[in-house]
This record gives sequence, C-alpha cells and structure tokens, in this order.
Amino acid sequence: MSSAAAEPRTERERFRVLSAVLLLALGCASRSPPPPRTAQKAAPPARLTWLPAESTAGRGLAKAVNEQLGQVSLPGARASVKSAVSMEVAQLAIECTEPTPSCYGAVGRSLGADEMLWAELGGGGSSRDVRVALLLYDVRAGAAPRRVERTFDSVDAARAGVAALADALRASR
Amino acid sequence: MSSRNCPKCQRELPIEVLRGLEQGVECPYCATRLKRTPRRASTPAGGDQAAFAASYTPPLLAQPIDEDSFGWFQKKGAPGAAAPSPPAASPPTTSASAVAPSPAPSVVAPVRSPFRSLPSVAMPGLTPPTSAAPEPPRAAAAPVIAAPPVASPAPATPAAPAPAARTAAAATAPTEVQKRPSLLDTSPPRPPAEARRAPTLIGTAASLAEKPSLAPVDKPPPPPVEKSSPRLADKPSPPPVEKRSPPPALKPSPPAPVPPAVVHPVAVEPQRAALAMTAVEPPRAALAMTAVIPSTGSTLALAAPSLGFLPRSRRNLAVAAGAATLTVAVAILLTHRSPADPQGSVAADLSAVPKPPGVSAPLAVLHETPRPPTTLEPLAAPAAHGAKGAAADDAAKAAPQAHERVRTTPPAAAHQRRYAKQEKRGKHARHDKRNARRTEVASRAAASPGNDSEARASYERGNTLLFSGDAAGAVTAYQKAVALAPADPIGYRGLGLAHEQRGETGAAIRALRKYLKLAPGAADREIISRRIARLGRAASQP
Repeated sequence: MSSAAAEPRTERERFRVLSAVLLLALGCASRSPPPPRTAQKAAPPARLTWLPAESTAGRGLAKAVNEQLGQVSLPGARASVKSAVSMEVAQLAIECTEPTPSCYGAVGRSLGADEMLWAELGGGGSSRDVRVALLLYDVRAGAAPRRVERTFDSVDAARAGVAALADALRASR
Repeated sequence: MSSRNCPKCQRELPIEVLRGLEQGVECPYCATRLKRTPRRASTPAGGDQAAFAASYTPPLLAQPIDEDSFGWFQKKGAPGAAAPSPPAASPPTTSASAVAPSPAPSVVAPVRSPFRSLPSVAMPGLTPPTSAAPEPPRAAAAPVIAAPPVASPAPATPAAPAPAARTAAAATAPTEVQKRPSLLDTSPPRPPAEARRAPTLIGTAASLAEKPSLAPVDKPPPPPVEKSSPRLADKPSPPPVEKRSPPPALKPSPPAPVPPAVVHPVAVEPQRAALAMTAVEPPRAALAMTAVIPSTGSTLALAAPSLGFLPRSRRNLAVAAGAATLTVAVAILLTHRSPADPQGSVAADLSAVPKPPGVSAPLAVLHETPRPPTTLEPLAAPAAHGAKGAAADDAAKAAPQAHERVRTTPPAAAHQRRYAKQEKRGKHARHDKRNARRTEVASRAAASPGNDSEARASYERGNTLLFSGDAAGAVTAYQKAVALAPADPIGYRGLGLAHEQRGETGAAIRALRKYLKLAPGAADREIISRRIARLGRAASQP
C-alpha cells in the first residue's frame, strides 16, 4: 500500500522536474526583446576658452579686442571662458613657441579647452597701420586654426572693426 | 783554319753542331758558344777584291759537308773572286806586294768589335809564334789571320800578326794599337756603316784596315792566298801594324788540309778603300755564315740595355721624356690630396657627438641650436673649461672623441695652415672664450641630475598654477624649481612670466634676463627679449 502510493508521487515529481527544465530551455531559447531605445546623449558643449591679447599695439586696442573676444559665442559651445594667460605666455611656459597645430593643441590641453580663441595684434605696412587677426582652433580636431585677419588704418579703426571681425570668424565656423 | 773547326779550340766540330750553328750552339769541346750570323759583304761581289777575308765562315748549310769553304765561296759566294791560289803563291801576285812596298803588308788588321767593352780574346791555339823566324812557305804570302768579331780589342793585347808580318812589322814603322773606349766613356765616333754591318769574324777591307787594334786570330792551316784588287793597289800602303809586345809563345801550327779561305789584302787605308769600293759599286748583300763568339760584353749589352742607353737618338730621348713625365704624374697623384676631406669629415664627426645625459629640455634645445660646439672645434683647446660634475665629465668624454676624430683625419695642409695662421693672429681667442662660457653653462645646468626631476615637477606645477590664474602659487613653484636646479634656466623663465602676471615688472625683467644669461642660445630668445623690452617700456610709463 505504501509502495503504490509512493510511485505516483515520484512520477509527479519527475513531471515537475521535466516541466521545469523544459520551461527553462524555452526561456533560454527565446529571444529577449530589444531594449527600448533611449534618446542619444547629446555631445557636451565645447569648452571655449579665449586667451586675452597682450597690449603690444596699444592698450586701447588690446582692451577692445579682449572685449570682443569675451563676447564671442559659438554654436555648440559653452560660454567662453577667459584664460589667465595669453597665448604667448602659455607657449613660453610649455616651451612650445612654434605657431603650429601641435603647439596650439598642447596649449589647449594645458588649459583644458576644447576650442581656443585668441587674437594676434601687430603692425601693418605703415607705422600707423594695425593688423588684427582672430584665430579659432579646435583642439579635438587638431586641424589648422581658422583665421580672420584685417589691417586697419589706426587703432581707433581697429577698435571699431574688431566686432565685425569676430562676426566674420563666427560666420566662418 | 777550317771553317768546321771551333775558332777557339781549333777542333773540328761535329756535323750536328755545325748544323745547329744557325740557332746557336756550343762547342762540345770547349763550350764556346758558336753562332752563324749573316754577313753583308761590303765589297763588290764581282770585283777582284775578295769580300771575305780570313774567316771562320763555314759554308755549312749551303754546301755539302765534304766541300771546303774556299771552293764553295769561289763557286757561289763570289763569282768574280779570285781563284784559289796555290799555297806558295808568289809574292808579286799577292796584294801585299802590290799595295804597299811594306815587307809585311798582309798583316790582317783586327776587326773592331761592335761591342765596345769587349775584351780581347786571346785564342790559345791561334796566337802567333814568338819566334821571329819566318816560315819559309808562308813568308812570301801573307798568312791568313782572322780576327774574331766578338773579341774586342784590349789595350794591352797586341795584335797578332802573321809570322811573316811579324818579322816585317818589327822592322818597319809600327802602327799604334788604339785603345778601345769603355762603356762609360764618351761615345766613340761611329764606325762606317760598312764596318758595322757584319758583326762577324769576317772583316771587310775597310773594316779590317780601320780596326787595327783587334786581337787577331791566327789561322795557321790554310795557305795564304791573296787577291788584291787593282784599285787597292793604287792606294797608298797602309800603315804597318805596330807590334808593341811580342805575342806570347805562338806556335806555328801545321797547315790545315782544308783549302784556305779567301785572303783579303788588308792594310789599306780605311776611308779611301771604302770610298773606292763604294764608288765602284754599291755593296751587295751577301750572307756569310760566321761563327760568333759571344762574350760578357755582348751578354751585358743584351741583358741590360739600359746600361748602354745613350740619348743619341730621337727615339731614346722621347722614351726618356715619357718616363720622366710618367714619374712626375705618379708622384703628383700620390702626393695630392683632395681638399674636401676636412670639412665634410669633421661635420660628420660633429653630428655623431652625443648629447650629455641629464640635460633638460632647454639644454637639449641648446644642443640642437646650430652653433659650433666647443668640443667640435678642430684642434681647439680641450673642452673641459671648468667642467664640474658628472655631466661635465660626460661632455668632456664626448669632446675628446670628437677631437680624436678630427685629429685622426689625414692632415689637410691647406685648411690647417689657414687655421694655424688665424690662431696665430688671435682670431680664435674670442671663439674659444665663448665656447668655454657655453660649456660652463652646460656643465652647471647638468650639475645636479638627481634634483632635475624634482625641479621639473615644480616647474610643471608652476605652469598649472599659472594657467589657472594663481600667479602667486606659480611664483612659489617656480622659485622651488630654481632652487632645485639653479643652473636650469627654465625656472627663471617661469618665474619671470609669473611675476609679470602679478604685475611685478621689475622682478619679471630680472628673472627673464637671468634666463637669457643662462640660455643665450635658446630658441625663444627673441620672444623673451621682446617681452623684456615691452616690460621695460611699461615700467617706464607712468
């Protein structure tokens, strides 16, 4: 009597084990549905750092240029951050004074910037001429810097024309 | 004497030897080298003058062996030659009696040898007898006396006249036996062409008369047969040959069974005879087989022609000039040196000088600047101008290598002389002083290689602080770097930039000037100088 009752019990247990294994196999064999697509993370905005110009051609001009450089905003970039040192000082500090993309990249990495904006002031053909050049360099791309340059008749003209020069640089991007 | 006999030992030569005379053989008895050479007759072939005097010429190859030479000559060699006379030819038929009244006119004059320095060869069996008694059968006719061509005349060797001539010569006027000049003497006058043509034992009439000093060879066996030409008979009698010293022990040899050769009436004045003969008919080439006895002189002349080189001909002069030119050219090529070796090799060696280890980046820049390093100056003062420390030792190690390389280069005369001249004028003093200062800077820069890494770390920290706007912290960091490496100029540069950021213009200028003093050849020297000037202007402005 006891043995007869034990046999159906063992069969029931076998059935349970087999069904569990079968379910497990089916579960493993089945393909899970693709996860729901989440929205792609937008690239972080570039850290734009502008490096102040040093007063080589005149304080007024350098000040005007630096004001315009601080107001430059580029699409896809954060608000520009002013660097503590000029491009020349930075290059001297890192011992890479060549006007090459590699040296610019080294400066950008030292400053922690993705894009650098700076100005080069110099004399023109005559003694009164002022040459103003704005440069934008993408540290991540490592390409040659984008450059807009214009020569003004005087410091006042240069001071007045820096804004247009910055717009030209922004448009060229 | 028979033509088949050896001219030296008078023995009859075997047939094999005779056949090989043309190639040159040796006498099997006395080892005398025998050679048959062609001879050009200088006398007309058809004339009465016999073209062949007393000769050893063996008509070997042209005639049968058993035929005598005389007969052969009669038949073939000289058709117009005189017929063989009997041995006891009467004196009137002899040329000696016809030519000159001299009692012994038929003394054969010795033939001059073509080789000047040949000593006379005294043939032992051919020397004339010392006895003055003339031979009865041969007294009337002059005996045949042959002189070997190679036997050059010796001054002390007298001519060996015939016995009959000897007796007559003793009584008549003597003829001088001229001394032959040696090889080192000046070149003697060239003999006539007729006399030089036949370097054989046979002499022509002219040559026989011209060369009286050759030691004659007595030819005892053949009976004297003389044939004189009528032209020669018109000539004056030749001077009798002087017999200075009696020939030693000349034994009269018995007459040979061989018929004698043609006897030439000798003792004719050479030039006249030659002129007379050449005027009649040009000499015709005739071959005579003559045995030649080579001597040391001939061997010397053949083996070492340079000893007998005399610039007598244009060709010899041309050869000498060419040799001299070639020698000079070779000497120039050997002594000439290309002037391109010093600079190129030195520059290559200079580039191979290693940098001294432990030098920081600015110093590396300094090493890369295109200026002549101190250790690379050729033959300059040693590079250890106050070198201190390990780096200085390394630099000093590198410098001698460069010096050694420079010195091991072959001496270039031009540039070294120029350099020495400039050095004498003191032009290199300033250069050496400047190099010494640079070397001192380099040595001080590398004075503490252990602290260099810490100084570098401090410098980098100062840069970070400077970029972040902490100029005060940057000044502190740079000051630490300068303290750790006082000879490293980069600390002063950073310190000057940091002072500038802080508005401390004076300190910035001092630091930057210090940097330029320590690194006069820095790549950023121009930028730093411009910055110093700008800072100075800013400081001067109110």
